[in-house]
Amino acid sequence: MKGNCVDIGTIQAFLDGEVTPELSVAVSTHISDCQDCSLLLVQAEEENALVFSVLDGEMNSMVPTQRLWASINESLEKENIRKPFFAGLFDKISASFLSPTLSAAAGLIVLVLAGTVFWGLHTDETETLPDIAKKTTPKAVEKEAAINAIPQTVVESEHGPKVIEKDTEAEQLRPVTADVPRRQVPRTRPDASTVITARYIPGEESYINTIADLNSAVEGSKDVVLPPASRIAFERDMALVDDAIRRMRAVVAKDPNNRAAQQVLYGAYQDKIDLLNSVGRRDELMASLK
Amino acid sequence: MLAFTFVVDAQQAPPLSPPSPPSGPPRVPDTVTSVFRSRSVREDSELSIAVGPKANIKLCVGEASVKVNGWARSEVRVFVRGGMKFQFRVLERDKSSDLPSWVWVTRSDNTTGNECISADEIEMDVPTDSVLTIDGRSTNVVIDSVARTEVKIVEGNILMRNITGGVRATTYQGNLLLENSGGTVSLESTTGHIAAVGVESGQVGDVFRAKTASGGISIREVSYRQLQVNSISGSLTYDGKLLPGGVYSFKTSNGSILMTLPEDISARFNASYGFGSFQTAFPISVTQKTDMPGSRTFVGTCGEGEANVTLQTVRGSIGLAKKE
Repeated sequence: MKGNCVDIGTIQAFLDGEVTPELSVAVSTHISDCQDCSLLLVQAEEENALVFSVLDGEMNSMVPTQRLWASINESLEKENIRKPFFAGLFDKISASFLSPTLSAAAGLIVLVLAGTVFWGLHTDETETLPDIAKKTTPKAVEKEAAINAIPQTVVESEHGPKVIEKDTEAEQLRPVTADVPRRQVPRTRPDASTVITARYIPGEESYINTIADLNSAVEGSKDVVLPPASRIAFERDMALVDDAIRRMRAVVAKDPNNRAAQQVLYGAYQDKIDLLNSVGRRDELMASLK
Repeated sequence: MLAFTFVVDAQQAPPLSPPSPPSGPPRVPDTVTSVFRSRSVREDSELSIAVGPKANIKLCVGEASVKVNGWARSEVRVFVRGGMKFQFRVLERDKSSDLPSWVWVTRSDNTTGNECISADEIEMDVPTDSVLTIDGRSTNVVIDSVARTEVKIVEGNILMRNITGGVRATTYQGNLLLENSGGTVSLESTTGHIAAVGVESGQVGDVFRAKTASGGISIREVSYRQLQVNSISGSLTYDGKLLPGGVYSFKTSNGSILMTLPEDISARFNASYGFGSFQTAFPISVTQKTDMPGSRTFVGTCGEGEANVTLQTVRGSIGLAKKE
């Protein structure tokens, strides 16, 4: 496939997610067949990883998240709605501040108010996690559940809450509880009633546990076991299966009694298990031949 | 199991009738006994050994192109071109004839513990009633006319034909082709296409399985009552009959399913095509249908509904076409 090789600019755009879906499919298909291009992609990925690791601190510090921007914009919009009344009041107050005596008095009032607010914040620290949890909007929780392929991040177990899987996309869309400053949350063990209880359809949990086990086993070895072309194909297939799981989970969540959708979901889970297993079996075969 | 190991030296091999002249690259001279010719580190060599009926022959390949051909003799002949020295290790003998019944073709110098042979080409002639087992790393394998075979390779294509007693073939990166064969069949690839043509079950209970992650599966003129075909990102095509009482399953996540069937089919279809579509050229009486995005299903019967067909795709289309 030398004639249709992808240039480095396209590969960078592909990695940055800046190509059209059609081009993305074409590039990934070509790369899965072309050793040279897959090597180029791996090199580009490594370069990106290096650059991002260097810039990690810079990029993650003091940069408002998408959600924070949304809330700031929302607040500004609300403020704009109220403007007609407050704008007139502000105009009057700012006009009266032209007098030095009144300015000094206003400064004193501001100081007193600041002190009161500071005191008030300290007394609010007694707010408990269940209270904070109640502030979690049901909509946000639903959104998180719909987006995650493995939806629940926390499940109840005999030994307390257990994290199953984290998703970066879900991380960005975590419910509003994540916005509460750490210092305001008392270091108490969360009440069992506040833990988001996993709602699996029958048999789903065993699939998820198996996938989690296999994932941890494969994660460390896939770079060694799979050559670049196979690695690309593997990642593409995993993305397809994850997408199928995500879609079918959303369907099942809407109608838990939908047997047909459940069967398709189980099939997608099984595909993922088989895919992960294939890496281990390939590794075993290679080891047996050495 | 009464298994033992006995290394057969080339000169100790029993006298054999001369093998038929093979085609292709220059060969060592044919003689009555086995011949070994040494030229350099990578050299040509040839050995043969008489074996009992239904012998098991095992081969491990590092890197080589492998061709196996069945012949009507009770003898195994191996020719290695541009490769390392090898030997026959007899793992078990037939109790009545005392002839080897389990033979391992392995490299002579196994001081490193590696038994696999690497060469430019390996050619084998084996009895047609033998069972062949090949493990390999990077190899293209062609097998013709043996009773049963099991092939497992890391990368490379596998082509098999005229295998009557069953096939189990796995490649983690490569294509699989099976022609004119029978018995229980299992074809598996991780990255590659699978094709099967003219395959029939030998006896009741034989199953045909084909599975790949990245690749399409094409099946034509295959007669089984149990058939499972599965792909993740590939499409599935089936062109053949549906036997009464048969259970047929076709599943793919991201591909389409196309079945080309004779006009007089008698089957019950259970199709689930989440975000895809369903089209049929057959008069199917619908017993159940849902049409919501993500949950599109279809259950229907054509004729008496003697065969059961499950069709499942998440995003692809399903098509049932009449064979012309």
